[in-house]
Amino acid sequence: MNHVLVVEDEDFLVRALKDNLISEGHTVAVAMDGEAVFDELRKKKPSIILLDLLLPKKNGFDVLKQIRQSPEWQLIPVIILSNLGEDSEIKRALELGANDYFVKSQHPIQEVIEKVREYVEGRGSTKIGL
Amino acid sequence: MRKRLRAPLGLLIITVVSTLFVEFFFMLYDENIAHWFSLSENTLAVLDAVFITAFITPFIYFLIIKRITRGEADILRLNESLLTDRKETEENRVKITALLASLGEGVVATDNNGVVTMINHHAEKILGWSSNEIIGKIFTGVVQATDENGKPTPADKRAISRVLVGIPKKKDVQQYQHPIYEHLYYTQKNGTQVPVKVTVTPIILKNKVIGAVEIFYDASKERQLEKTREDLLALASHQLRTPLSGTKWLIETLINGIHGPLTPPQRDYLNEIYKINERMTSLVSDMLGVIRMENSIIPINKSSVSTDTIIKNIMKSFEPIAKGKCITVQVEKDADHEIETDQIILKNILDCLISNAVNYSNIDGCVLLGLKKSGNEIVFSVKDTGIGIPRDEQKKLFERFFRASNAKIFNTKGTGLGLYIASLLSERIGAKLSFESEEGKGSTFYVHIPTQG
Repeated sequence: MNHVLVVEDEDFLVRALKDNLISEGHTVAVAMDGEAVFDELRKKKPSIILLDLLLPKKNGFDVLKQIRQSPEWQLIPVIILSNLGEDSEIKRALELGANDYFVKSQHPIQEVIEKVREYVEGRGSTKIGL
Repeated sequence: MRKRLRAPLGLLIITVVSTLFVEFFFMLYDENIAHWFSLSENTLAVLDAVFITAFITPFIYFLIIKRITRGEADILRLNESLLTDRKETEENRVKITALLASLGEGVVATDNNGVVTMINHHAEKILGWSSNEIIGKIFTGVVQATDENGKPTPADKRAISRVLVGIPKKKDVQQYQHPIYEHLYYTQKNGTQVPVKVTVTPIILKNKVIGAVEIFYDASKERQLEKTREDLLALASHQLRTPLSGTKWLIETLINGIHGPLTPPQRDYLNEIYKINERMTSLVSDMLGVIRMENSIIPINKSSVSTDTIIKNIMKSFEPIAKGKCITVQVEKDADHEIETDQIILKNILDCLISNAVNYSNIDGCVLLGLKKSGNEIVFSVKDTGIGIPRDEQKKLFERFFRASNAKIFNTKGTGLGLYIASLLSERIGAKLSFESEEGKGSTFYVHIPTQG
């Protein structure tokens, strides 16, 4: 059983992600803002993080930067799930160490779940999902 | 020449006529005169000479005086004209200086070697260099330029150097006289980067470039506004997409049966809602694209790229989509060409055209992506065997929100913005779009990309 950390501030998106991930057999923790991420990370180290970018308290770029600088968490795969779709934002996230980037409105939830499966099974390779 | 001869000739004529007249008089009356006044022959000859002199002198005197007077008048007039010219030149100089000083833009003039000959006050202010420090020096040597990422722009790539290279033999002078524009960052004397928008025009005299004039302005505020507009747009884009992506994922979760099986009508209803949501997502995405295009927010990054690379990337993204509709996408090209363009924007244009070709073709249709060099342009073509465009509606095809009547029936998902965006994108990279179409038989869209030279 893999543990997935979902960092998302919209209830309905959390619900959709949580339902799909649980049905896949994962356990799910949720952080609704950029600071709560680190509380959840301390509680239980996840196999993968699904990270939104526009978050209360601390934005996703800063969260990602902090994760990649931490010796404890830097190797955890991070998939960005955001509705920011500019090339500059995607580039920035990848440069900061994101493993993948999905513009939520353009991808079925099943693609995200499939990507999570790839990473937790160790098959994931960095590819931008646009 | 005639004017110069007039005076001596007149003098000669007067002398001859006067001499003849006096001589004729003496010839007729010399005996009577000698007799009346008891004059010797020698005295008579002297008298003859005196008469001739007396007769001619007033004419000669009159002529010389008149000429001197006229000469003096000419000199006075010339002097006056010179003074007027000097005054006018001085006035013009003062006016030009005042005009340049009052301009809100920086102005720099150079000779044909790029050496600064004039700089106005505003240019000094923007650059931080005084006229004393810059006049007599090569402009590109003193004022360094970079792109928005801080990468130095080589001196020979800058507009001012490009216009000073000279007029290519085959090029029309009038065409060459057109200004060149560029956006870059100038490094001020204190090392600060300032964004500038530059216009450079060559100074051409007798078909030779004798210098250039560069006009530029500080675009800091403009950049700041652009940045604010981009941020607002990104935020608006995010806020509009978030509920749409939520609806999409929740419907997908239900359709996938995660919360139990659905009855067929429930599934149908959800599928319909899903389609509406997808349509709304496309509309939002296209409208934001239009706003970006119309406000020129999308930056242009031209580079040299092989047409084979472009085709390969396009085919990669379209093959699975076309396969899903049993449509074959083929490529027909004359060769691999190297073109100077923004490859992301060109791919977007071709993506739009191929996507339309696939969306408006029946199952088992065929889409042909063509490429050929034609004169001074590389032409990409996208040919389909789809529904075509009714002749009387073809004029409106690139208009915003326009959808052909048969397209609305065939595919309800379109937004009417795809071709409008493609035309805006083409404009941005200096390409042109054209098409030919017959209703019921198919369409061919062309992207004309000008090549250099």
